[in-house]
Amino acid sequence: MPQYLSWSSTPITFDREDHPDKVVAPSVYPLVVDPIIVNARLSKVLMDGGSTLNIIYLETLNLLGINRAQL
Amino acid sequence: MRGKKALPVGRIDLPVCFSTAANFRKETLTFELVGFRGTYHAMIGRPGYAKFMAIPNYTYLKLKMPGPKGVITVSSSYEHAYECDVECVEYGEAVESSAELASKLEALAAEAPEPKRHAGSFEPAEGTKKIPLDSNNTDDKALTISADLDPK
Repeated sequence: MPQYLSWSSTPITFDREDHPDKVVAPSVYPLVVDPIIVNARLSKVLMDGGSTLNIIYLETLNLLGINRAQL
Repeated sequence: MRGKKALPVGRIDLPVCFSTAANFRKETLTFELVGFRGTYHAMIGRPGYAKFMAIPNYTYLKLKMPGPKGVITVSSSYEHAYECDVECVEYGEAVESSAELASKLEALAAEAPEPKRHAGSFEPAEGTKKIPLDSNNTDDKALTISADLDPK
């Protein structure tokens, strides 16, 4: 009996629904998203599929009001 | 990203939440903390994709992931992506040129002669005298000439 992960039953598809009116030069632009990290919505978070790490800057932690001492 | 050696300062676990009006997904991601500046707030790599089971579409600039009430679609405008890209490239170039300048200065400093007198520096030769340009005026405007010139 395989053990399924909790989200594994949801199919993810892209179709015409997702198609913008005009696709501008595909592959040129970075995928920038705006998740809420800790308590703030960060407007410039890069989705970097080529990176083996998640990276955050000290500067951003300062923005979020997190002290280095709290690490 | 910039070919610059990045030493992480540490690691930090932070809650990250992707949401739409009706649906959201929250996971704790481990971030490498770096000390240098960047143009983004953060960068989510493979561990983040894996945790959220997120699928990117780089053509439409959309990110999809399963959520409690169906698929969450996170989209970004081409304008915003373009601005971020330009900012990133400009910053990268600035870093590059400042690094280049720093290394040039370093090379120059290494090449610089020792601060002692040697031929070729602008020191008056021996045997000179100062003559005032205007004999009525005793300010320090003067010419330095060779001492053994004929007084014509």
